[in-house]
Amino acid sequence: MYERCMSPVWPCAMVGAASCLAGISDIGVIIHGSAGCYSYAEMAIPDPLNCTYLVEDEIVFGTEDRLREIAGALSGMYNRLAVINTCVPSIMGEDLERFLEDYDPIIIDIPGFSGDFDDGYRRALGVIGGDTDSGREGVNIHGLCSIDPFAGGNLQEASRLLHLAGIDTAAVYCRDTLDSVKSPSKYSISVNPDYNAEHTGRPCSILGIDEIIETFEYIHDFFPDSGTDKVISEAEEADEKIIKACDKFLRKNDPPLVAVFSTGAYTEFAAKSLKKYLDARIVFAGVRNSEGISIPDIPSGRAVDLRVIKEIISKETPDLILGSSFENAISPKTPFIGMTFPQRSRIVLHNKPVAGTEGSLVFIGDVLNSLDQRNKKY
Amino acid sequence: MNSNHSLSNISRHSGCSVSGALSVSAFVKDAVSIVHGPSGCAHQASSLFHSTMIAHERFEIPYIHTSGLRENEIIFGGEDKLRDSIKEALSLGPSAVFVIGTCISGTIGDDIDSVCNEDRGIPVINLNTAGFLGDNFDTGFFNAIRGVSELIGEEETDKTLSANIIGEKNLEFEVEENFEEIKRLLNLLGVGVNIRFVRDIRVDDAADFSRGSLNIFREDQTGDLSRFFSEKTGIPSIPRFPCGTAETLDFLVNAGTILGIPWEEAVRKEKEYQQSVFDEFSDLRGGSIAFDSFGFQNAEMPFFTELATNTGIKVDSEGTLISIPFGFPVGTTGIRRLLREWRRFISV
Repeated sequence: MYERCMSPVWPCAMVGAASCLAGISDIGVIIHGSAGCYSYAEMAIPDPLNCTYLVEDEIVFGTEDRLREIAGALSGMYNRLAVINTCVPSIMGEDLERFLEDYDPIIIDIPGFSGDFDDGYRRALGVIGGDTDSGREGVNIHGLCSIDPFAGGNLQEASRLLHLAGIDTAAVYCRDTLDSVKSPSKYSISVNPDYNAEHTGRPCSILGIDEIIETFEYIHDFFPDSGTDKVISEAEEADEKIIKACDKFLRKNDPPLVAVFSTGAYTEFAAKSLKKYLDARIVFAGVRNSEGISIPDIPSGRAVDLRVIKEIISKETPDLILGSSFENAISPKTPFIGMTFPQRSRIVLHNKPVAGTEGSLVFIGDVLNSLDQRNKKY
Repeated sequence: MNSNHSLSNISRHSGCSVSGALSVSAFVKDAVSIVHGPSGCAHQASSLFHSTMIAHERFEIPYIHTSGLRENEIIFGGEDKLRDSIKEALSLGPSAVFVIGTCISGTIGDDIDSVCNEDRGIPVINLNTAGFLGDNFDTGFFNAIRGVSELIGEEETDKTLSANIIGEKNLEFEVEENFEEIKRLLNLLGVGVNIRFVRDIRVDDAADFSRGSLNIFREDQTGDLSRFFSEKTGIPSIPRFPCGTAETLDFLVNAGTILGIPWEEAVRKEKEYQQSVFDEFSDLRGGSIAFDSFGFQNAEMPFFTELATNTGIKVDSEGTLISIPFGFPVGTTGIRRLLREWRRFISV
């Protein structure tokens, strides 16, 4: 968790917990706090949220009546309620579980001051818990975080690849029902390993062509009658396509200088792909949710302070920036590709993947088009 | 005790004073704003500013410091963290520092005033906010205007034939267009703009505030801003930007009268402009509209009746349903833009 900084660009733990739980369709999520906290979460998270909209006298006299009022209104609409505590009611130290004991709620006491988005997301995943169901067929999909601009596209792509292999989709983290995520199958793939649910074992990544091939070769051992070879062959074809397009680019251009800002797994994916296919020099890999990436020779570090990010971009003058609209706003004339939340500087209506074969194709296509745009003379 | 038992109770939905205060203080270009609370609070505000600025096609984002309160400070107090943040902010060489308290600093009882009052060579001003505790967006906005007004010089200055524009809503989508309309109206009277308080000013600019001869508020529904500035500066004021044809003409008359200058020619020219606008939309004559109030907006405002009369549009419940705008159009140009939007809905 970052502390004192300037214009922090990554949300707090409360938003992370809300993002995780709101993706579970039969849970009614209540943000227990003020309108100010709720309105941000509501703006960032595409799934439905509810709020107690606390006012000052409830902080003085207690929040029980208000919480019960909202729980009562929602209880008929959902199978289960989840209450996410915010900073001030958390300090009050009320026993929310006792207030709502007749509703058997999920209580997540992870106020904003206790951590960042990822802390909240992980805590919520941990509280949901569950045990693998050895009788359940199919493969779980992990890593769908609702504020991730690629969540919708990644889900479609992961489901498509499993379907191509003739394998059913089992639990989807976190876009599913509570019963389903509490009883996952034994096998899992992940579209974004930063947001894996850990109680199902380590899912195999499909973020990147090499990872897709490795994952589906592995899955084949457990699903010998499936068509995983179709997925592997599709991935190999995609690899060829990408190599051909990138080689063509490199016949006319030098390898680009690129600054990447995103969550850990996406940053590594982007850096690795750009180095592999375009021999790019990654001038900096800025990570929202960890202290850096593990690829050698790439300077990296945590990047949540807008002033620090601006200093890096100004110093390195990259040919291409991958990041959020914060990075785009710092250098609006530099070619840009959206790689993390938020994406406010452009309209994206379609479900765009970054995982799977389509994800790699889309990613490299975007990179080449953005760089090419820079050179166009009309 | 709590009397707010309804979800529809508007007081529950009136936002956070941190955003309200920042929507003022962050527009002092050479000052630093510090949100004294967890970093998530500063992120929320940064994010709001970021999206709003992009909608305004402005890419620079004001820096917002956070004291980054964590669990340790919740237990032992956050004043030292605030001191550290102010020290860090001073290293950037600002001309002033504004401190914005959050519901957390309010709950743990940090004495922000005493930290701000320590001698540091430049103004360090507590904007007196506490997140949602007793406050909302509007009180944060008001407290910040009051706080920034501490920068206004007290010395006597020569008056100029100019107006101070106070309390523009910096996050409003049409903020620049509304200002341009007021500037146009003042120009008809031969009056200039002295300062936009507070929009994109520097700390030193505030010293010139008293050179203005008229205060014009963007919107002062409670009268608190007018009273405050009247006591502080003694400058006469107009309480809000004009909305509707009659109010726009009144604006010219009032401004001219207060400033002791002739207004008749300005009013004549504005009436001509208003007529040209209604001529432009004469095709709407005979159309019918009804207003969608979203359940809480007032559709009974004289502005609507006036607009209907001037355009020949009938207001009846069977008419095309048109949303009441959240921000009312400013001046005659605002009406023109509103009618253009309505034209797309109205089938004559």
